[in-house]
Amino acid sequence: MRERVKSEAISSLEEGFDGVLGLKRRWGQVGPYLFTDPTELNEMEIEPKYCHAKAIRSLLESDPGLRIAAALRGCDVRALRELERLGRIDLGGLRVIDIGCSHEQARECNCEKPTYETLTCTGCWKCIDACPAGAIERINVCPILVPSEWNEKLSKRKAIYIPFPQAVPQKATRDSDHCLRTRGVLECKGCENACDAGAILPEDEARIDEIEVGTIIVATGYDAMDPTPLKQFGYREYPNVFTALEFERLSNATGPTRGKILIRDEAGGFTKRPESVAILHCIGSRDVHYNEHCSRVCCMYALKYTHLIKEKVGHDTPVYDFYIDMRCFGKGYEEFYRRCQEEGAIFIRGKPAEVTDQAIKPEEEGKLIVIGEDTLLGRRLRVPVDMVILCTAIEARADSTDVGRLFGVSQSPDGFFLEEHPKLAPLKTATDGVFLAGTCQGPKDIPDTVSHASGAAAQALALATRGYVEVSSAISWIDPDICAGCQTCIGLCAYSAIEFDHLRGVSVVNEAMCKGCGSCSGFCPSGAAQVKHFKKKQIFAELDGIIAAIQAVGV
Amino acid sequence: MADFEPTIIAFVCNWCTYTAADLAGTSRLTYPRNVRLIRVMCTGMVDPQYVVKAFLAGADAVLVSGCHPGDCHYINGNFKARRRIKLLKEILPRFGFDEGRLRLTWIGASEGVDFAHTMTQLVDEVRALGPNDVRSQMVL
Repeated sequence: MRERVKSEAISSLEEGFDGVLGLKRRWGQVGPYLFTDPTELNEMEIEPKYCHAKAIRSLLESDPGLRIAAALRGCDVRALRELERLGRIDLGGLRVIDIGCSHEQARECNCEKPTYETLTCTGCWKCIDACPAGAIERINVCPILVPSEWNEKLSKRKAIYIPFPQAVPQKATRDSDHCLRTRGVLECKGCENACDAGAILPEDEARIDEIEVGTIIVATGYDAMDPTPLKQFGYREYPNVFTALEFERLSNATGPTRGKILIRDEAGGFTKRPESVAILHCIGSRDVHYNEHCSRVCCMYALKYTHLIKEKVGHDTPVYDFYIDMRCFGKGYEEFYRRCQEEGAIFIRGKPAEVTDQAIKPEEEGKLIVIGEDTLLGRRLRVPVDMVILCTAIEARADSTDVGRLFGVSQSPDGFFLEEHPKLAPLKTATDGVFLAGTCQGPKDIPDTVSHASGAAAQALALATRGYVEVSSAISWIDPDICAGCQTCIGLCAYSAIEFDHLRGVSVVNEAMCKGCGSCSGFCPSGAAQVKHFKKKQIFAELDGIIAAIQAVGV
Repeated sequence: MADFEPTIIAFVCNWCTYTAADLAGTSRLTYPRNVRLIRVMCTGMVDPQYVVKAFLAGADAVLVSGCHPGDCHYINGNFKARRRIKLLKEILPRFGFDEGRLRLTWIGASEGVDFAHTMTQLVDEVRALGPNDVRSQMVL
């Protein structure tokens, strides 16, 4: 350990750091010392534990431009990072040389997060099988914990992680926004040392590869609406109001609770079983204030949740489904609805007005109260429950406009990508060779998405395997000798088939994309744009012919 | 004026009105023979020059007909046509043309009956208007 710290200290000085903060024995006592000469480093000590945070802070405060390295323990690093978070220190010029505490030292300090002996770990993951749940995070090499996107931020993941079980490919990825090494905070080599395969490339960076292709399938998916702005439903205000995707992770066997449907206790941990659950349909969809469209999948997954709660939490658990209309449109769906009704789920027609924790009756104490109306009975309701699930809307992705522009695909009023024809060409777009698959075109359930995507793949392959495209002969052509370069046609073209040639100062038709509608020829002020077979000369000749015939023989 | 037979030039789009005319023919519907069709791919490609040329050549009325709004085979060509015809109708009188002789209609591909009906009606109306005298004016 001492040798490694020393060698990193020497290399830091060689790289031009102003000094290395470490410990040195002077007058019989060990104290902090700023090493500036590599020869002095022989006297550097790493024991005992010594908190350098204060020294670093005063050093960096006296001279903010100072670049120093420091031999630090995990607790020092955490203290400094906390100071940085509070804005009291800028760690831009600091390099950390980490000193690993032994397990004995960690136990002495009662340290929750020792900088463990990462170097001896082979990353075989055997420890994960052997270890009780809570300790996995300590033994696994990466010290960083970030809210897991896959688990809807209900659990943590490392800065190096396999995105989700059954990921294809099943390979670890490094999150360079959080990794200490890539951020340059700490020379952490935990994962590198642990990897037997040597698969971790320390200097590897994200890069952009340019690939030339003949067809493109846009499958950018959707955004689940964030229900926070709908204050009346109390998402984020009450800990046991969940979105549908969060519930999905809770009930999933690979999720944070290993498939147990649990709710948060007072401390925020998932420990309690819900005694009753309310599922609120159409949150943000079929709502003129948010999204007018129906999200299409919510009714069926709400029924799935109803069934899962009955099955996993207990058949006596009351589940209340607040719906506007039950839309069970697919094969076997209506039968499933009936089955859930027979299992005892309570279906209430009426969208709730509010979720609150203000109890007015004794049985409402400590519960979430869903306030609504049963519009079939014409009766107002207050339903006390332990857990509320919000079936949030499927929305077009926030960056749809930019992505659409990139591919020349327009959007329908709801923000989803517009297909060429709603019935006859639901996979094609206005741009030839660009196809749509899945929810980027509109809300879809899994069978619909699979069908849509298979169709898009088949159509893309049909174009690609042939190796060439047939272009209609009746397409536009802009005479470069006449074109004045006004670019009016570029704005008119519905297929983005006209580009401006800056070198010659004229507009040029991309023959592979032009469909021959003639919008450009109808407007071209100089008459440069003409559709082949429908040129001005040809139309005029046709006109003259017709009139001549009429005059010759009469109508 | 009773024996006046008007000449009507119709610019029809390939995908809707031309198909509707075809359907009218195959359905054995009758409509006046005064109408002559000029097929274009889309009403969006009808240059105002074509309309003016048709009047000058001796047409008593010009019809531009395409797909219903929102149904264009080329996404929005008929909207462009609608804008152009609207503007053209405003400037035609300044050059001595009768803007009432220029018509814009939407006839979908399946509306063969509608096509025959529109043509009959149009011919009746133009017959009532009388011959287009713009050509003789131009000659003068």
